[in-house]
Amino acid sequence: MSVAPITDAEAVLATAIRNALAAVAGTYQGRPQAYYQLAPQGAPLPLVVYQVQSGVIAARERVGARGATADVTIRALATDATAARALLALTVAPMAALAFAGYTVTATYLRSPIIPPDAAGTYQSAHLWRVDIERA
Amino acid sequence: MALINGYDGAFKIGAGSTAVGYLTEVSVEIDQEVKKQGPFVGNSTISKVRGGKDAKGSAKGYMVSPIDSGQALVLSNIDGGTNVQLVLEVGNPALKTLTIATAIIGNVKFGPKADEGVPISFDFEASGGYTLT
Repeated sequence: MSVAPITDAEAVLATAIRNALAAVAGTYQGRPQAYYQLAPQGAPLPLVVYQVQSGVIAARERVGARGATADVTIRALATDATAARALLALTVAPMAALAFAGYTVTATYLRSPIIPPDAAGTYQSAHLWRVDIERA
Repeated sequence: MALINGYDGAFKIGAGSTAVGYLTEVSVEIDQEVKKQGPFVGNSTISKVRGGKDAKGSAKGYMVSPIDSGQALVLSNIDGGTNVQLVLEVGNPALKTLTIATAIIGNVKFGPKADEGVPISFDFEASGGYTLT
Protein backbone atom coordinates (compact mmCIF):
# COMPACT_ATOMS: atom_id res chain seq x y z
CA MET A 1 0.00 0.00 0.00
CA SER A 2 1.12 3.55 -0.65
CA VAL A 3 -0.16 6.92 0.47
CA ALA A 4 1.31 8.68 -2.57
CA PRO A 5 -1.45 10.15 -4.73
CA ILE A 6 -2.13 8.48 -8.06
CA THR A 7 -1.25 11.57 -10.07
CA ASP A 8 -1.31 9.70 -13.37
CA ALA A 9 -4.88 8.55 -12.78
CA GLU A 10 -6.15 10.31 -15.91
CA ALA A 11 -3.69 8.46 -18.12
CA VAL A 12 -4.49 5.16 -16.39
CA LEU A 13 -8.22 5.69 -16.79
CA ALA A 14 -8.10 6.96 -20.39
CA THR A 15 -5.77 4.20 -21.56
CA ALA A 16 -7.55 1.37 -19.76
CA ILE A 17 -10.93 2.33 -21.20
CA ARG A 18 -9.63 2.96 -24.72
CA ASN A 19 -7.86 -0.41 -24.79
CA ALA A 20 -10.93 -2.18 -23.45
CA LEU A 21 -13.34 -0.59 -25.91
CA ALA A 22 -11.05 -0.80 -28.96
CA ALA A 23 -12.29 -4.26 -29.84
CA VAL A 24 -15.92 -3.17 -30.10
CA ALA A 25 -15.55 0.36 -31.49
CA GLY A 26 -14.06 -0.22 -34.92
CA THR A 27 -11.21 1.87 -36.37
CA TYR A 28 -10.78 5.15 -38.23
CA GLN A 29 -7.47 6.41 -39.57
CA GLY A 30 -5.73 3.56 -37.79
CA ARG A 31 -7.11 4.46 -34.38
CA PRO A 32 -9.84 2.74 -32.41
CA GLN A 33 -13.08 4.71 -32.53
CA ALA A 34 -13.21 4.90 -28.76
CA TYR A 35 -12.26 8.51 -28.21
CA TYR A 36 -11.37 10.21 -24.96
CA GLN A 37 -13.28 13.46 -24.52
CA LEU A 38 -13.71 14.38 -28.19
CA ALA A 39 -14.05 12.57 -31.49
CA PRO A 40 -11.93 13.98 -34.33
CA GLN A 41 -13.63 16.13 -36.94
CA GLY A 42 -15.14 13.97 -39.68
CA ALA A 43 -14.95 10.67 -37.82
CA PRO A 44 -17.68 8.42 -39.23
CA LEU A 45 -20.48 7.06 -37.07
CA PRO A 46 -20.91 4.85 -35.15
CA LEU A 47 -18.27 5.66 -32.58
CA VAL A 48 -17.75 5.82 -28.83
CA VAL A 49 -16.75 8.87 -26.81
CA TYR A 50 -15.95 8.65 -23.10
CA GLN A 51 -15.29 11.47 -20.69
CA VAL A 52 -14.83 12.11 -16.99
CA GLN A 53 -18.08 13.43 -15.58
CA SER A 54 -17.79 16.92 -14.07
CA GLY A 55 -14.12 16.93 -15.05
CA VAL A 56 -13.00 15.56 -11.71
CA ILE A 57 -10.79 12.66 -10.68
CA ALA A 58 -10.81 12.51 -6.90
CA ALA A 59 -8.47 10.88 -4.41
CA ARG A 60 -9.93 7.96 -2.51
CA GLU A 61 -8.31 8.08 0.90
CA ARG A 62 -7.97 5.38 3.50
CA VAL A 63 -5.68 4.71 6.45
CA GLY A 64 -2.32 3.91 4.91
CA ALA A 65 -3.33 4.09 1.26
CA ARG A 66 -4.73 6.34 -1.42
CA GLY A 67 -6.51 5.45 -4.63
CA ALA A 68 -8.43 7.48 -7.19
CA THR A 69 -12.01 7.53 -8.39
CA ALA A 70 -13.95 9.21 -11.17
CA ASP A 71 -17.36 9.00 -12.75
CA VAL A 72 -17.02 8.29 -16.45
CA THR A 73 -19.68 8.63 -19.14
CA ILE A 74 -19.50 6.21 -22.06
CA ARG A 75 -21.49 7.55 -25.02
CA ALA A 76 -22.24 5.62 -28.19
CA LEU A 77 -23.03 7.82 -31.19
CA ALA A 78 -24.79 6.56 -34.30
CA THR A 79 -27.16 7.66 -37.05
CA ASP A 80 -30.15 6.02 -35.39
CA ALA A 81 -31.17 5.15 -31.86
CA THR A 82 -31.11 1.39 -32.37
CA ALA A 83 -27.54 1.43 -33.63
CA ALA A 84 -26.46 3.67 -30.75
CA ARG A 85 -28.03 1.34 -28.21
CA ALA A 86 -26.51 -1.71 -29.88
CA LEU A 87 -23.02 -0.21 -29.82
CA LEU A 88 -23.41 0.87 -26.21
CA ALA A 89 -24.48 -2.65 -25.28
CA LEU A 90 -21.19 -3.93 -26.68
CA THR A 91 -19.22 -1.69 -24.30
CA VAL A 92 -20.63 -3.26 -21.14
CA ALA A 93 -18.54 -6.44 -21.10
CA PRO A 94 -15.21 -4.65 -21.80
CA MET A 95 -15.89 -2.23 -18.92
CA ALA A 96 -15.82 -5.23 -16.59
CA ALA A 97 -12.31 -6.06 -17.76
CA LEU A 98 -10.37 -2.81 -17.47
CA ALA A 99 -6.62 -3.24 -17.07
CA PHE A 100 -3.49 -1.13 -16.68
CA ALA A 101 -0.07 -2.41 -15.59
CA GLY A 102 0.61 -1.76 -11.92
CA TYR A 103 -2.98 -0.86 -11.08
CA THR A 104 -6.31 -2.45 -10.42
CA VAL A 105 -9.00 -0.63 -12.38
CA THR A 106 -12.63 -1.47 -11.71
CA ALA A 107 -15.83 -0.02 -13.11
CA THR A 108 -19.20 -0.04 -11.40
CA TYR A 109 -22.33 0.81 -13.38
CA LEU A 110 -24.21 3.79 -11.91
CA ARG A 111 -26.96 4.87 -14.30
CA SER A 112 -27.87 5.68 -17.88
CA PRO A 113 -28.39 9.33 -18.78
CA ILE A 114 -30.87 9.98 -21.58
CA ILE A 115 -29.49 12.21 -24.31
CA PRO A 116 -31.80 13.55 -27.05
CA PRO A 117 -30.60 13.45 -30.67
CA ASP A 118 -29.03 16.60 -32.04
CA ALA A 119 -30.16 18.62 -35.05
CA ALA A 120 -27.73 16.78 -37.33
CA GLY A 121 -29.48 13.49 -36.63
CA THR A 122 -26.84 11.99 -34.36
CA TYR A 123 -28.35 9.67 -31.78
CA GLN A 124 -26.63 8.91 -28.50
CA SER A 125 -26.97 6.23 -25.88
CA ALA A 126 -24.94 6.44 -22.69
CA HIS A 127 -23.94 4.73 -19.46
CA LEU A 128 -22.36 6.36 -16.42
CA TRP A 129 -19.74 4.29 -14.60
CA ARG A 130 -17.75 4.84 -11.45
CA VAL A 131 -14.14 3.92 -12.16
CA ASP A 132 -11.87 3.18 -9.20
CA ILE A 133 -8.09 2.96 -9.50
CA GLU A 134 -5.92 1.26 -6.90
CA ARG A 135 -2.27 0.29 -6.90
CA ALA A 136 -1.96 -3.42 -7.57
CA MET B 1 4.11 22.53 12.22
CA ALA B 2 1.60 20.81 10.03
CA LEU B 3 -1.51 18.75 10.38
CA ILE B 4 -1.01 15.02 9.95
CA ASN B 5 -2.86 13.55 7.02
CA GLY B 6 -5.35 10.91 8.05
CA TYR B 7 -4.17 8.55 5.35
CA ASP B 8 -0.57 8.78 6.62
CA GLY B 9 -0.21 5.86 8.98
CA ALA B 10 -1.08 2.23 9.27
CA PHE B 11 -3.06 -0.25 11.28
CA LYS B 12 -1.43 -3.65 11.51
CA ILE B 13 -2.49 -6.99 12.90
CA GLY B 14 -0.67 -10.11 14.00
CA ALA B 15 2.90 -11.06 14.70
CA GLY B 16 3.72 -10.51 11.03
CA SER B 17 2.35 -6.96 11.18
CA THR B 18 -0.04 -7.43 8.29
CA ALA B 19 -1.54 -4.09 7.31
CA VAL B 20 -5.31 -4.01 7.54
CA GLY B 21 -6.36 -2.40 4.28
CA TYR B 22 -9.34 -0.35 3.15
CA LEU B 23 -9.94 1.26 6.53
CA THR B 24 -11.41 4.74 6.49
CA GLU B 25 -11.18 5.35 10.21
CA VAL B 26 -9.30 4.02 13.24
CA SER B 27 -9.90 5.31 16.74
CA VAL B 28 -8.07 4.40 19.94
CA GLU B 29 -8.94 5.38 23.49
CA ILE B 30 -6.44 5.18 26.32
CA ASP B 31 -7.97 5.04 29.77
CA GLN B 32 -6.40 5.84 33.10
CA GLU B 33 -8.36 4.41 35.97
CA VAL B 34 -8.87 6.97 38.75
CA LYS B 35 -9.85 5.85 42.24
CA LYS B 36 -11.29 8.13 44.92
CA GLN B 37 -10.15 8.04 48.50
CA GLY B 38 -12.16 9.94 51.04
CA PRO B 39 -13.76 11.83 52.52
CA PHE B 40 -12.58 10.70 55.93
CA VAL B 41 -13.88 11.48 59.42
CA GLY B 42 -12.64 14.95 60.14
CA ASN B 43 -11.30 15.42 56.63
CA SER B 44 -13.75 16.22 53.88
CA THR B 45 -11.26 16.28 51.03
CA ILE B 46 -11.27 13.63 48.39
CA SER B 47 -7.96 12.31 47.18
CA LYS B 48 -7.54 10.49 43.92
CA VAL B 49 -5.00 7.88 43.00
CA ARG B 50 -4.16 6.33 39.72
CA GLY B 51 -5.24 2.78 39.07
CA GLY B 52 -4.60 0.70 36.01
CA LYS B 53 -4.24 1.80 32.41
CA ASP B 54 -6.16 0.36 29.54
CA ALA B 55 -6.61 0.80 25.82
CA LYS B 56 -9.45 0.06 23.48
CA GLY B 57 -10.55 1.19 20.08
CA SER B 58 -12.42 0.63 16.90
CA ALA B 59 -11.91 0.70 13.15
CA LYS B 60 -14.13 0.83 10.13
CA GLY B 61 -13.76 0.57 6.41
CA TYR B 62 -15.09 -1.51 3.58
CA MET B 63 -14.53 -4.97 2.21
CA VAL B 64 -12.99 -5.69 -1.19
CA SER B 65 -12.59 -8.64 -3.53
CA PRO B 66 -10.39 -10.55 -3.02
CA ILE B 67 -10.68 -10.19 0.74
CA ASP B 68 -7.94 -7.98 2.18
CA SER B 69 -5.43 -10.13 4.08
CA GLY B 70 -5.52 -7.89 7.15
CA GLN B 71 -9.31 -7.92 7.29
CA ALA B 72 -9.19 -11.70 6.90
CA LEU B 73 -7.02 -11.88 10.03
CA VAL B 74 -9.51 -9.72 11.94
CA LEU B 75 -12.27 -12.13 11.01
CA SER B 76 -10.27 -15.27 11.71
CA ASN B 77 -9.12 -14.00 15.10
CA ILE B 78 -12.60 -13.26 16.38
CA ASP B 79 -13.93 -16.42 14.82
CA GLY B 80 -11.12 -18.53 16.29
CA GLY B 81 -11.22 -16.81 19.65
CA THR B 82 -7.53 -15.97 19.58
CA ASN B 83 -5.75 -12.94 20.98
CA VAL B 84 -3.69 -10.92 18.55
CA GLN B 85 -1.20 -8.06 18.40
CA LEU B 86 -2.46 -4.76 17.01
CA VAL B 87 -0.34 -1.76 16.06
CA LEU B 88 -1.53 1.72 15.15
CA GLU B 89 0.96 4.07 13.52
CA VAL B 90 0.10 7.74 13.13
CA GLY B 91 2.01 9.69 10.50
CA ASN B 92 4.36 8.56 7.77
CA PRO B 93 7.01 7.99 8.99
CA ALA B 94 5.27 7.10 12.22
CA LEU B 95 5.23 9.93 14.77
CA LYS B 96 3.36 7.89 17.36
CA THR B 97 2.95 4.14 17.57
CA LEU B 98 0.53 2.38 19.85
CA THR B 99 1.20 -1.31 20.26
CA ILE B 100 -1.24 -3.64 21.95
CA ALA B 101 0.72 -6.85 22.30
CA THR B 102 -2.34 -8.82 23.35
CA ALA B 103 -5.63 -7.57 22.03
CA ILE B 104 -9.05 -9.11 22.01
CA ILE B 105 -11.25 -8.35 19.04
CA GLY B 106 -14.57 -8.10 20.75
CA ASN B 107 -16.92 -7.24 17.94
CA VAL B 108 -16.98 -7.35 14.16
CA LYS B 109 -19.83 -5.99 12.10
CA PHE B 110 -20.12 -6.28 8.35
CA GLY B 111 -22.75 -6.66 5.69
CA PRO B 112 -23.76 -5.41 2.27
CA LYS B 113 -25.42 -2.10 1.58
CA ALA B 114 -26.97 -2.20 -1.85
CA ASP B 115 -25.71 1.22 -2.89
CA GLU B 116 -22.54 1.44 -0.83
CA GLY B 117 -20.55 -1.78 -0.99
CA VAL B 118 -19.85 -3.81 2.13
CA PRO B 119 -18.84 -1.79 5.19
CA ILE B 120 -16.90 -3.55 7.94
CA SER B 121 -16.20 -2.33 11.46
CA PHE B 122 -14.68 -3.89 14.54
CA ASP B 123 -13.87 -3.11 18.16
CA PHE B 124 -10.83 -4.22 20.11
CA GLU B 125 -9.43 -3.90 23.58
CA ALA B 126 -6.11 -4.53 25.24
CA SER B 127 -5.52 -7.37 27.63
CA GLY B 128 -2.44 -6.63 29.69
CA GLY B 129 -1.73 -3.07 28.67
CA TYR B 130 -0.13 -1.32 25.76
CA THR B 131 2.97 0.62 24.79
CA LEU B 132 2.97 4.10 23.34
CA THR B 133 6.16 5.24 21.67
